[in-house]
Amino acid sequence: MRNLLLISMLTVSWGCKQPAYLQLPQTDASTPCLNLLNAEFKTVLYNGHINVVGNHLSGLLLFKQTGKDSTRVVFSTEMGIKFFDFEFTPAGFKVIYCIDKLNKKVILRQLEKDIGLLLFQNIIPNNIKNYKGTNEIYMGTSSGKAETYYTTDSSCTHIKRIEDVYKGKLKILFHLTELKGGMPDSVYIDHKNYEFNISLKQIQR
Amino acid sequence: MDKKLLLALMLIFSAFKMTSQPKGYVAVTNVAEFRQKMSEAAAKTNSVKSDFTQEKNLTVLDEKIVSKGIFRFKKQKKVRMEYTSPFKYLFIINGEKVTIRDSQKSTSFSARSNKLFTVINNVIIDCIQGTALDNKDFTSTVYKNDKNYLLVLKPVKKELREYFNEINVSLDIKDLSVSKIDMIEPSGDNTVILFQNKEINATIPDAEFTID
Repeated sequence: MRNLLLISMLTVSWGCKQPAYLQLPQTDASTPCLNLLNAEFKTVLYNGHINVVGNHLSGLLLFKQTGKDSTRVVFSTEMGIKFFDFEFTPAGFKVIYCIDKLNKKVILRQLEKDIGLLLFQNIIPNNIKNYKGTNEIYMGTSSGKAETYYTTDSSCTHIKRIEDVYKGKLKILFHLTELKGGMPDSVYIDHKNYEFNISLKQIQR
Repeated sequence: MDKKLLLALMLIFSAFKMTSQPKGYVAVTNVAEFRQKMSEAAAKTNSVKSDFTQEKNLTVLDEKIVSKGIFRFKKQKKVRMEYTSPFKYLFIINGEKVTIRDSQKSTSFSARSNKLFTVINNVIIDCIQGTALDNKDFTSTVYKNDKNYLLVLKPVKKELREYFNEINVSLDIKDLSVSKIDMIEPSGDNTVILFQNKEINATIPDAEFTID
């Protein structure tokens, strides 16, 4: 129990260091855990809130799987004004529509990254390293200087956290709650290098 | 060959002519008379209370997002649009000030500083206050059938054309109250707001339009 507390504290506060669970023994990834990295759902609607450097924006974020491994993501205001419509496929990320104010390389790259991580885009199962703690399982992938860690509960019912790391530093931390309709019921995305967070809560229709 | 070309052009032209007039409507030729009717109706309307149903249609994705709420208008230029289901969202215009309250935060700003967030409500205000044909942000064409007048508003400025191809406002022919707004996006997606259970000149406390 004391170890778990220590691991949790280190995980939350790591910053420049490697996450504590990388010290845990590496194990084989189990199929149920790996299956969590393959989101399957039909349509999920979220009420979303974005806070970026003192500005606040809310709206509706719709995720729809349009085919195997293809997802459309549409964000509009509550009053129906569409801000963006993106498509994620194995071939890549495509902007179907985006208002001029958001249609900037740096913004699109960040949105692609955040939404892509939530949709477990570009994960190669064979590259996943698995670490088993007392109550949590940690799955990690890396590509060059970028690493991503997915934390699940011990029975692999859902992903609880996603940590995006670059050059050993935590850049984005996702907190996810249990799955509803194949997607997390709520999501909190916290960017560590500047004031930018996104919170999503599913809307039952 | 020339005759065939002429025939083809005539067919194309007639098709354009047919599509330019909304189905089931005829163009109102005496716009001055319509304007007069709007002014008279506006003079008699001090407040409007109604429910509304909003339907956003994402055509390519074959998806509908339906939300419901209550609408309040009070002279001069006070609007309260409160979404109650399936999410909570409140939008208030009081003169030149706007407050938006979502489930996390309340934000207030000047209506002039953010036209995008106020454009729909300003269209509603213009219709109720009888000034819809004077809004310089849109060119307008008026149609009618036996139940409704239809205002087809086309945005003039690029900043609004990015969001809307046109905004169609249906007005009840009996009292010229707004019964439907259809916002059509360049992609073909649209958002329809239907106003139901309308009460004209009901008592509405000023507190409902309090800006934070």
